[in-house]
Amino acid sequence: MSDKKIILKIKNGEINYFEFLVKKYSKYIYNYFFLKLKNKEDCEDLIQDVFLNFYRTLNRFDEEKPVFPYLIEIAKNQLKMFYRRKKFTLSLKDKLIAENDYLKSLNLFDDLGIDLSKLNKKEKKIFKLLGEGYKIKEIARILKIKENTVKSMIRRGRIKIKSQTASDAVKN
Amino acid sequence: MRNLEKKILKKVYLWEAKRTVFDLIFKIILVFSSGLFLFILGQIFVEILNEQKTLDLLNFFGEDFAVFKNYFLDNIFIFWIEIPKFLLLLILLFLIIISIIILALVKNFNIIKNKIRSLLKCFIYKDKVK
Repeated sequence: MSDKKIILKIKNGEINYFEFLVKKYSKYIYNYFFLKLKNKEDCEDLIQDVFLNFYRTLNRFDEEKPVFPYLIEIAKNQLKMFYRRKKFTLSLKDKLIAENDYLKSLNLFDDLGIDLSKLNKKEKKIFKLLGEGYKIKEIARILKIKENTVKSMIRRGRIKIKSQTASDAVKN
Repeated sequence: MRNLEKKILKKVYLWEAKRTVFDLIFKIILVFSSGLFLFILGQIFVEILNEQKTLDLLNFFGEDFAVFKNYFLDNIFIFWIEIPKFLLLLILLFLIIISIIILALVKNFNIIKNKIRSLLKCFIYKDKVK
């Protein structure tokens, strides 16, 4: 039986004909997902959503058009949504790892091999805040000093760091 | 793969069953509640007309044709003035709602019948298929 006839039957309320479409296309859609995800459970969840979404939109579907490209389009959208969901939901273990990474990023200067020991206490604090991603305006507000003071301290600190790294290079 | 197909079909049939049942229940409740309102409004409408003795105007339909012809427009005009218009508007509104729902049900009767038959077939013979 052609897809057109099956869809017309389903539109007429004989929904058990949907079985033919599922049998015909499920393995292709499954392969599509498996190639991308390599995970059986995720593939099975997604394929169920694909066919359910297809069934929901079946009344608006033009039976003259081919079914498979439409199913693949739904599958692509489901995959996008799946990736988006996965991006926002981290397991507790992943969350701890992410937090650890963030904490590590705060020691950015140590990782980059930049020695801040030559800087005074205030300059060190400014550079740490810069490393955390604060803007000059925000640093000035946090430390209760003027923006221009922050800028000049950064300039002085840079000079100190440059001279330090240059002398280290000469020594090596 | 066969299990997966079963899972897909089960999900789809469950969704369709829920939709069909809710749709039917919603429409039946709407028809019955509209019918009830229509009945109550109709009773009030007739009572008001009885109190005003407006319905006596209809007696002139039993008169001779010449009298009927002469006073037809006058009587209709008086009748129109005396009837409670807001109530009439409400009655018409409920009548329209009921007729739209019933027409939609009659129009989709075959589809709904087929759907229910397919769903019953699926859920009743489910165990036999397994």
